[in-house]
Amino acid sequence: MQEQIQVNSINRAFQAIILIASFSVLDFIILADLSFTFDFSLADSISFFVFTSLFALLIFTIQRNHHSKKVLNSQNIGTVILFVILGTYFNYLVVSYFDGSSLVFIEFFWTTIIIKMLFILLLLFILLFIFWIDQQKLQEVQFQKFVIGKEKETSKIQLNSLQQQFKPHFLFNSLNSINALTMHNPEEARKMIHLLSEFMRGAVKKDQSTMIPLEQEINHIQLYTNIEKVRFGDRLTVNFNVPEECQLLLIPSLILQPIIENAIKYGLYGHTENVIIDIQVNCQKKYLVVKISNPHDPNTQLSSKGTGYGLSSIRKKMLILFNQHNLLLTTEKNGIFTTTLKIPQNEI
Amino acid sequence: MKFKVIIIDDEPLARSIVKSFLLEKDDIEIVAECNNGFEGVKEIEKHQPDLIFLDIQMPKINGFEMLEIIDENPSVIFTTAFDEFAIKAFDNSAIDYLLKPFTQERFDKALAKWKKSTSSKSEKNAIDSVASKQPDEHLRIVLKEKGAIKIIPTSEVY
Repeated sequence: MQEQIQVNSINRAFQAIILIASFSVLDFIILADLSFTFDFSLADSISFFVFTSLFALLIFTIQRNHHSKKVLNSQNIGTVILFVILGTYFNYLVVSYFDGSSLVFIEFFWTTIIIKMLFILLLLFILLFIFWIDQQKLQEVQFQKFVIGKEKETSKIQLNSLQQQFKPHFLFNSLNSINALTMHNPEEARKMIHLLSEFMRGAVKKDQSTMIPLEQEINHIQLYTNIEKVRFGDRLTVNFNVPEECQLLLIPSLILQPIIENAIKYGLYGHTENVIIDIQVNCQKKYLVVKISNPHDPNTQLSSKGTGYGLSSIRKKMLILFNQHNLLLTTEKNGIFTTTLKIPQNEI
Repeated sequence: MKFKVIIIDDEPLARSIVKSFLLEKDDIEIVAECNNGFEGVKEIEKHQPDLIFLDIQMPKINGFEMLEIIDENPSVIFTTAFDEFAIKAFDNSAIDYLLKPFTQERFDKALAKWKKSTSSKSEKNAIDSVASKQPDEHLRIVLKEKGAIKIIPTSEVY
């Protein structure tokens, strides 16, 4: 595309020179026809060609660097008029060098000055329109490229955020459990399919930047933990403690699931015993506080790989949404890892 | 004689699938089911199985780490939802790598692959053991022809 635009620019410059040269030849023919000397006519038409080409180049540069949505704006009209005046003046200076003292020349110059200026004006306006249209097309192409790039970027972000909501192996493991249940317990398999589809619908549909009531977010989390309980059986217990008065407070949608996923992962894969995950909610004056605790063994290989429990993206999201640091805190005490999320109220 | 098999997976339902797929195989006996790698190590040492079905992500130690602990590894078919460990699995001499959820057909294919590898291995072992019993191996040549093993004295070769 870039190459094509470059080729078009070269073609356009060539076309502009041909156009200016045609006007110059016409100028020469008219003067010669009016019985002016060959030198005089040639000097006039060459000076016309040189100055008009120079102004055309300047108009082209202005269009390239200061393109406006309107072609006939004050900047463009002013520039063309200025160039017409300068062009006429420079043309007078050059031609007068050849026949400056001649009365015939002076008379000719003043009687034809308006026609000459209109001549230059017409040519410069034609070139202005051509360059403006070219630049307009170029900008449209660039804008389309920009839009396509943005769309790609947006879909990548959406995909990443979707992956953040559930890791692909969670889905495949859940489908594997359904596969097993269909053989021995079809009723339970149907329930699991319902849980999984409800969970996925919630994860796909919700916009992560919106605030939703806590009860909605907890319902979504319960779908997730119920699926995990089917997978891991008695090994996993999840306790919810959500006071009634906190249910309608607002929380960014889908923010808790990655934290719970981490808690379950590090709880279950760090221990061979049964694991309890606690989800504790408190309403404070300006904040809704959610604490998620899981057993933690710092000596397991899983923990030593530590990516800060994968919480950095949640920390970043909280900073973007609330413009406040320290809304996500983590502590470890007596083998229990606790993640505390503070959600400011009345902020969005 | 039946082949001894152990299933090692921390998800009960995932183990139950492998179990059901093995139910109709008359020549296979499931000698143990394990919840994690530690149980796996104990049961493998106890039963010396011919084949294990092994999950990768498990509590405390993963499937690869468990294999590192065992002195003599049995044949391994990995069963996992992660596709990114396939190369590592085959580096660890895996017979096959089953991605969850898998079908009975795919499972049977993996089993057939294992049987093929064990039969060629046992043939090789048989040849090796016969050859190793000879006081002077240069006196005989051991050949395999149409599945049968032939031992020819070098004096008969012209």
